[in-house]
Amino acid sequence: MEDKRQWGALMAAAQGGDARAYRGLLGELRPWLLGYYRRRLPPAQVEDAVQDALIAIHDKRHTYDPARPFAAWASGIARYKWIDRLRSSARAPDGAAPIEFAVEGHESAVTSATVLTAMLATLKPQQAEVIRLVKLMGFSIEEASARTGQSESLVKVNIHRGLAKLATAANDDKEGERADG
Amino acid sequence: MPMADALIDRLAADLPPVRPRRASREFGVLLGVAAIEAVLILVLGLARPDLGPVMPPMFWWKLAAPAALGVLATATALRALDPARRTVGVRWLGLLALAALGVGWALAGVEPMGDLDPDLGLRCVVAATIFSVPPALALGVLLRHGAPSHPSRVAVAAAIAGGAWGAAFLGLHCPNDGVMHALLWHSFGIALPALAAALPLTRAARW
Repeated sequence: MEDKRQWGALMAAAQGGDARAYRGLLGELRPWLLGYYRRRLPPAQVEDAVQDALIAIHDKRHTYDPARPFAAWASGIARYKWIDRLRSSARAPDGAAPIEFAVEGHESAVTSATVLTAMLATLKPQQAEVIRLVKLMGFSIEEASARTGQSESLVKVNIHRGLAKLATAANDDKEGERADG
Repeated sequence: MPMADALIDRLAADLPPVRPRRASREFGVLLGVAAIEAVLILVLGLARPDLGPVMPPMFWWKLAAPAALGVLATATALRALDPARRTVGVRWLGLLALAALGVGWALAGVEPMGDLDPDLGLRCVVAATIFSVPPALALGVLLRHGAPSHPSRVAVAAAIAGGAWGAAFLGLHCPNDGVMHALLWHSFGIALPALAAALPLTRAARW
């Protein structure tokens, strides 16, 4: 499909004001960003995340150094915007829409489930349990409280702390994925 | 996805040329701000009255230790404004600060310990805070311009840089070369402005 080795050259041209090169670059970045966020976010958030990342790439295009690999730069922006969304989820009201992971592609769904299981395993069991119930399975706070025996306040606190811990873990993950380039 | 296509068209339609950022160029800007401030301190008569070519070791410590911290913290912050950078290196700044304090304490063998002199000490902290404003503002502008992976850590490095630059200029201003005074009040002269600047710089670094 796209030749990632040329992305740096396209961005360098875009920094000089070449709109055609820039349109081509963003057009090639879009499917890569879709794949990136499909592995990390629920389907309802993917398109918004892609657009956020495209806008960030546009706003911060002067921070790309043409002498350095473009993929690492673009990956850094995509990752920052992903972590931003995790933080927003942690701050969101507990009644926010539940997280539903991708089912469009089997491979993507398996990847998402594997990543999510690994991340939830780092939390306290009480936190992981209520996040599964409320954010993944769509139960209300009251229902999660009844199922787990935790008070409603404790369910909210555990969701908040669990999501915050996931965001921190993702932020500290120095082995985070880079683009394939 | 028509919305994404429309967004791409809109972004590409408004495409003024941009100058790629260079950490080295921004570092030069910071050094320029520092040099201008140092000249202003001398020209405006804010330097200590006995300033001359031969000064006691503690004078040089008060100047060089925070200046070294300021240079390193500035370089650390500016280097981390690249989204591809996953680490910041704030810990090194703590180690350098401890080493500088160790050197200062070692000067107790050749310099008078002096006393704490709280009145002058408080004035020194206020002066350091004022002196830290120009470099901290310049760093805030540069942070706003960058795209750090870890805004809060970068802001800490920048806040330390601002405080350290302020304390370095305080070294030109403060006439007390006592060890106790320098170690306590000049350290506060770094720490307090850094604490005050950390929050606004964190906001500046977010994007």
